[in-house]
Amino acid sequence: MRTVAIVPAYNETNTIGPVIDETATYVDKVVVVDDGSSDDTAAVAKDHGATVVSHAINTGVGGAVRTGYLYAIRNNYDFIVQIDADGQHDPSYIPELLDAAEDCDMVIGSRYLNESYKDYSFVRNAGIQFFTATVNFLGRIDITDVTSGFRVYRVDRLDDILHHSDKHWAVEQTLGAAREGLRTTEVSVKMPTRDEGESQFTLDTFALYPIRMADVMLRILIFR
Amino acid sequence: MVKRGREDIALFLMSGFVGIGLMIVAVYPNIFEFIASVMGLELKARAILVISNLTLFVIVTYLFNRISKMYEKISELNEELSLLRTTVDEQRVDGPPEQDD
Repeated sequence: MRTVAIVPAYNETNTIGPVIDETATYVDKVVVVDDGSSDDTAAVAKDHGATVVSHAINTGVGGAVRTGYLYAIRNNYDFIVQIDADGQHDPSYIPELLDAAEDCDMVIGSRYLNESYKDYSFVRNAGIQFFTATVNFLGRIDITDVTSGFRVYRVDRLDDILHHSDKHWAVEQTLGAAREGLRTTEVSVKMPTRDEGESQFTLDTFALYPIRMADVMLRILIFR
Repeated sequence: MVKRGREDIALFLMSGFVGIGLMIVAVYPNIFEFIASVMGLELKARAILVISNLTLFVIVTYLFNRISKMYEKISELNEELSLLRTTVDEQRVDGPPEQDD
């Protein structure tokens, strides 16, 4: 079974090297999708032996993730491991996620099956739980952490659920997976809070949430 | 090309509709009194406000939709370009593919 790790990255010079080194021990190939970084992320990634796919312009994490999925599909990989470039995701959990993927199509590394979420800010927690509750209600599933970017997918089912939105790709992906009947499971993964970079959950994100969520829901529920 | 033609036609029709509407109002300035009575509004000014707001709403919705579609196309182009560049780089490193004789 050929496995590729996809690492979407934007200005993560300080953390991308160690992430690649640790991840490479568990997968056949590490692909870093550089989303138009203005620093040396791409160069550092290449130095650490990763294949780098560089976006000409920055389009957001959803676009970088989608590019990674397309790479895995077109190069005939069996499984794809998605892991963040900021060092929040511990690569030592990859074998556990891949084990769970043997009987499933999508495995999510959940922060809410352990106590990782207790260090998060109120806004961040509220955002994650609101997204999760909405997807569980609309998709009739029971997931604890819909926004986690630490995932494993079975590649031959990925074509059915390729997302379109850039900001809330995880919500669209998970809702799409529920509607397509993908076998989904979660694994408890501890994720410390970010020491470097910016979280995607800010008050701006929360304020724009109703519009973006309506967009995602319309895409999945009506237009698919 | 056909799809692009359809978008140009839609823009042309929308511009034409707004232009014809303005010409009608210029030739028949009291038409808004008739519109106000049909809509059950007391004042001509309110009818003008309602019609102009509706027109703006349609135009803005259409333009937002076009912007959204253009953004999706830019994203797709960005992704395809990056994957193509990577494929070319990988072939450069691995050498040209072997051909059967």
